[in-house]
Amino acid sequence: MGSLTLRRGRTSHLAENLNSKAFFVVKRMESILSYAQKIVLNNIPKRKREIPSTGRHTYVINSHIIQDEYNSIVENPFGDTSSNVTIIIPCHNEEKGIRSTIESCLKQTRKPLQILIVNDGSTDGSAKIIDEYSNFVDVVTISKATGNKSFAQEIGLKYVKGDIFFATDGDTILDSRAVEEVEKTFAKDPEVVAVGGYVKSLKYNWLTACRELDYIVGQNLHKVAQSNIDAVFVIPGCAGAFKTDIFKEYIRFDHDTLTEDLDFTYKLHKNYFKIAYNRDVVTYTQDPDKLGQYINQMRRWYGGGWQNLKKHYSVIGKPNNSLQLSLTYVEGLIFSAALFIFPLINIKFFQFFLLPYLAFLLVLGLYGAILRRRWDLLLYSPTYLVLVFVNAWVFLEQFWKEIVLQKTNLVWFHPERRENKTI
Amino acid sequence: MPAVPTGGLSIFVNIAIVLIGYIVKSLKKMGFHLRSGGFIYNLFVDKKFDNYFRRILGYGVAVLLFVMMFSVTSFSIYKRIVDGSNIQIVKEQIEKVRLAHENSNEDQFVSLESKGLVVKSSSSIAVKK
Repeated sequence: MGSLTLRRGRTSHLAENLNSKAFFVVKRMESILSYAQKIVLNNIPKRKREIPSTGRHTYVINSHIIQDEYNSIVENPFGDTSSNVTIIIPCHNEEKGIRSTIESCLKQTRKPLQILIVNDGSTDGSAKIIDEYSNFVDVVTISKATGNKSFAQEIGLKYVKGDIFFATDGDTILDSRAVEEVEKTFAKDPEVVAVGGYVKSLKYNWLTACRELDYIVGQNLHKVAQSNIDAVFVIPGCAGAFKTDIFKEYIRFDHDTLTEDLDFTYKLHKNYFKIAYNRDVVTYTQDPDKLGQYINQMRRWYGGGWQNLKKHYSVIGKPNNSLQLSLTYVEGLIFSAALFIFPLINIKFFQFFLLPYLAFLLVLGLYGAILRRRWDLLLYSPTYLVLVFVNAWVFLEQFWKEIVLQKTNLVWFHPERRENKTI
Repeated sequence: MPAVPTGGLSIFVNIAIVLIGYIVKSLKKMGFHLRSGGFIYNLFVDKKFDNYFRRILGYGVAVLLFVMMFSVTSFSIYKRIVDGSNIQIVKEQIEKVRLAHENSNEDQFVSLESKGLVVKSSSSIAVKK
């Protein structure tokens, strides 16, 4: 195909230097070559159509695009044996993201045993998109929305066939090696009960760039340190894998907090289960691109954080947990309060404080730009200063509501979705 | 959940933990075993040390960090109040304006006006908001 294109290009170039009669001949040659190219291309033998049965599932191919993608799975270095991993995807009105999520699951280098989608009362086009993949995925449909992701996950868990289940979201794209890395982590250390993965934010605007900076600091520094002293405190909701039997017996779903991932992690700590952190289990997630939605999401995350700390306060009884939780919550609380008190006391001192903070953000932005090869991280890094105040305010607000006033909010916030742009 | 607001302490502490972890791993690879270090590490993480002493240690760490950070922040705020606070700055500026008005010192007034601290009206001098 490449050589044909090259010949065409060469004849076109020559045509510019020939007289009109010769030009006609050359054009005629071009059309003949074009015709020959079509004939050759149409007669290239098509790729293998039959997908071997895995023993539990027989896949039938409907879509041409999926055919090609699926063939790449069959041709993976592990052969055609599937892993023991179920990917569970709760889905509520995810028509913009669910297709890319499913396709990323189908593109895994290590084939998942089962892809389980829990359609949590979607009223948009999600169900129609899921139906297109009905030959590849198992679908559990809940007729009325449960209003909380953990309800959907709980229902889905009943249908999990794998010994390990990988929890992700309907707006998340899995890296092609995610399942393979999950399996490797569990195989490396049999004591490991859960694996926390690495989340990257899909590029969109300044807010998602700032969120990516958050992820870089959180996952390349804090979580590595936490992992060193066995005190990993968040297994991300969109990148967490668990041993199914232990999860069913010890963890379960309580539905009494806004952040189910934190709830799982605290319970694992209380039961002395080992949590591994693997930075090679990568997922890409959509983060809010509007400030209002960002604030709502932060309310859910911070509110859920305080709810879980209140619920599982006894985890502080272990010094390693105590150190990390204090650094997170005590420092967060005092710093947030100071951020609003200092300008009232001395504006000059506050200005001097902001300058080093800005310098730190620029260094972080540069590091992020080099690490991710995304120069927008450097460009937008100063805007993170705005979010420092936003985060601090929401953190204090949620502390006041959840801890001081004891008003527990369990209303799930569902941000607006968008078409995935780039990874 | 992303990083909560931080003034930098968690960053410095976690950098130290990462570095110590790296050194310990390197030493282990080289054949060294820090038995006493291992005991301290286990005191923090191992299930067999889950006794009252360890719980006291755990809660102690949380209380100590809280008291430490609260003290530092409070002292810092107190110092700002005593030395060069916003109130002090405002008081000083009001005093300068009063002196300028009383002495009718035109030079002093011009100096303050050029800084945008006062505006001149027909009957009086007012501190600019």
